[in-house]
Amino acid sequence: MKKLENMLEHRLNKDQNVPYPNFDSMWERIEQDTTASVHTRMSSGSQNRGRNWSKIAAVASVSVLLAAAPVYAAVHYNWDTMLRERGGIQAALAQNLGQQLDQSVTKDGVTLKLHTAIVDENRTVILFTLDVGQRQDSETWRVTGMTLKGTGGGNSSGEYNYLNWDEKNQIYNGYFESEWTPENDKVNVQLVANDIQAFSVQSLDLPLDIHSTETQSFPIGQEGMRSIEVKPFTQGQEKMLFSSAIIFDQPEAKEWAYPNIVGYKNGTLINSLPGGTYGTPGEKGEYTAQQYFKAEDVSGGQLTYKLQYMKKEKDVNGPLSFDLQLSKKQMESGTIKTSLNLPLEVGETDYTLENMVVSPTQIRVTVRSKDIDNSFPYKKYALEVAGKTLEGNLWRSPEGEPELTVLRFERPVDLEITKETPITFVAKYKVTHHGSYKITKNNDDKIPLLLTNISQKKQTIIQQLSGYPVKWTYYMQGSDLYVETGSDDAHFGGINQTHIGLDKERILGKPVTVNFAGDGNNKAIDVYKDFKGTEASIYMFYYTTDDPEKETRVQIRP
Amino acid sequence: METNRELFEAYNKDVYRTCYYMVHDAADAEDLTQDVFITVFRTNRENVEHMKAWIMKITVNHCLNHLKRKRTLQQKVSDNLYLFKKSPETPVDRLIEQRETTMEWAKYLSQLPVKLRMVITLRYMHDFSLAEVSDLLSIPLGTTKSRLHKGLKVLRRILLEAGVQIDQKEGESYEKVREYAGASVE
Repeated sequence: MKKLENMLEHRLNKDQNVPYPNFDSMWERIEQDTTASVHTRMSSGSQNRGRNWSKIAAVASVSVLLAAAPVYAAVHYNWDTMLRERGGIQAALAQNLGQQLDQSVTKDGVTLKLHTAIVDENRTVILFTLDVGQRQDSETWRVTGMTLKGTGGGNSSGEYNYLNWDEKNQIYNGYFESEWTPENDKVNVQLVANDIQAFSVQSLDLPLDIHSTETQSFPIGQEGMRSIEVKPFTQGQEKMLFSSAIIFDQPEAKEWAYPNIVGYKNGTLINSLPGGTYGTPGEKGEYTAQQYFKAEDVSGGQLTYKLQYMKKEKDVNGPLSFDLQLSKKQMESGTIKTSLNLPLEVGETDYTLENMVVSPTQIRVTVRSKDIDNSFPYKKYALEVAGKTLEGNLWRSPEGEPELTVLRFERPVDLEITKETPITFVAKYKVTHHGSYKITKNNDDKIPLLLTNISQKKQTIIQQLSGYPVKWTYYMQGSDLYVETGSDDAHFGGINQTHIGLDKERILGKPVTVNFAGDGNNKAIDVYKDFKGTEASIYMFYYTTDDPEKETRVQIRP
Repeated sequence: METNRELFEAYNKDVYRTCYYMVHDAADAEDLTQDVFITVFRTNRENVEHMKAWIMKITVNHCLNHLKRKRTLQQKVSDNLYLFKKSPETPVDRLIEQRETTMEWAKYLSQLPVKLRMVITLRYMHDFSLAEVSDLLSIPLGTTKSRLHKGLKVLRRILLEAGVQIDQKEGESYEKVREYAGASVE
């Protein structure tokens, strides 16, 4: 299949034989059509028609052009708490590398004020405050849709904002972060926020019977949610899994409701364990979640369950927008770009450290993978810089370059880096894929496992995979076949998905659990709806093995 | 934000090629491309995060609607295709020449059911990930995977039936096609 895939990629992108039409005359026809239309967008910036910009002023906007001036803006506000994960930004502020903005917009008694921009080769960060007037203790505020415009499009990826309540000053401190950085000396952009909203936490009793393995349904009728279905699963000795699906009458409420199940044991709150997944859309668009609880937490004592969710209390409708002129000029002197081309592992060519960019706020290392389908094989990564260890974050690949992985390392406040500073890259916890990673690979080497006497009774088969005992448990429930896989040996990473039969007759198991590689959870459940028969040849796509001890070190400098 | 003209310049070929491979008719593809851009320009795209994916989604919908409209007639024809088929009398050499052309590939693809064709086109022409394809077509990931898999299977069969050797190297494949075609004629 791989050959066919390559051939397709090649053929479908080959230009020369495509009978392209005359695009110029097509453009003329489109122009005529769209200018004749009353529905033309006003703010699309279509310069050909010259009647667009007047309406944009209708949004709450302050148009102040600001020259880039280095000002240390963190005088009155305690940015440090908020920026505890952003040491590089603190470092830039401490060196007066911020660009003062001082613009604010007030609407419905809520003031959004921009203070400082930190712009360098790697990113743009804007510090702001949100004054919501009298805030109730139960309220949580957020700013939605914050984005930079006029950045040349396609750059709105990697944008987000973070708010932190400052008890002392009774104000929210916040920052906005974007991947985008200006290409030229000075660039005019707009920072826009859609809405500013307040939420409160609510809960609803859920008369859940966790000893029943049946799917249980409850009406909700709150915050756009119609009903919830919950199915409990026992996962090994120590965990319970609640798999749930919520049907929303008001789909937009999925954006903020964050529904999740919590337990109360003798009145004390029991939260689910980390590692749950929320909000995966189900087959009919329902909001599905998988939450894990410690088995001992949910046994014995007086147990009750509740559905916790966020209720929208206030909504300040935007957009609110700010015109800004941003520049990364002052940061340029502190930026060092180095091309590396070093293998990730000695003697291997699968992954190469390609380059490193050290900016005043962050260090980025780009890794190139030989096969675009292979993700970076280590789960932990750090840079050792002059005796200090900087933990890294994996960032998604740049657009159109899936073979690249970008690792980001935040610069601590008190670390000076020059061209001579020694730097070593360290990666730990290796995850290895085994088997057909791609769904399209041929099936020749696939060996089935035979499930026999399929019935309501739970039956178990032990299979050895890479030397680890893997337990397959299968049983019917109603008309559905459930297949659970997992191993007591934590070095086994888990099976991603199973299927019954091959080729045309193949039936795919629908994963009940969301299976991440390297998450320390090797237990997975697949369901085959409306399964007929008492025997099945079952296969898997791939499994992973974890090697938490495995470490590789790459000396970058000297 | 890009101007309309910039968007048009940036994506007209992508949109056209998709339409062309989807509907297998140059004139229809041209009309569809024009319609797609008119829709794009009339829609508020301020909040569009991934421009290409968004435009491709509009393209996909236009193609599907077009095919749906056409299907009634086409279905009748294709269901009874054997009535129209003539015995093969195209000279072998011409067959080989044609085999490698885009026209042929559009034809091979057009033999795939629409649902499979759509997934194959998005995945291999535009290199969208499986998740992105699911998103574009508003179908679950599992469905995308199975359609992709099935699409490849069916396409492989179509190609084999057409005598196209599935291989990575172009020159080599041409030679093999020639051998194959030659052998079958002798």
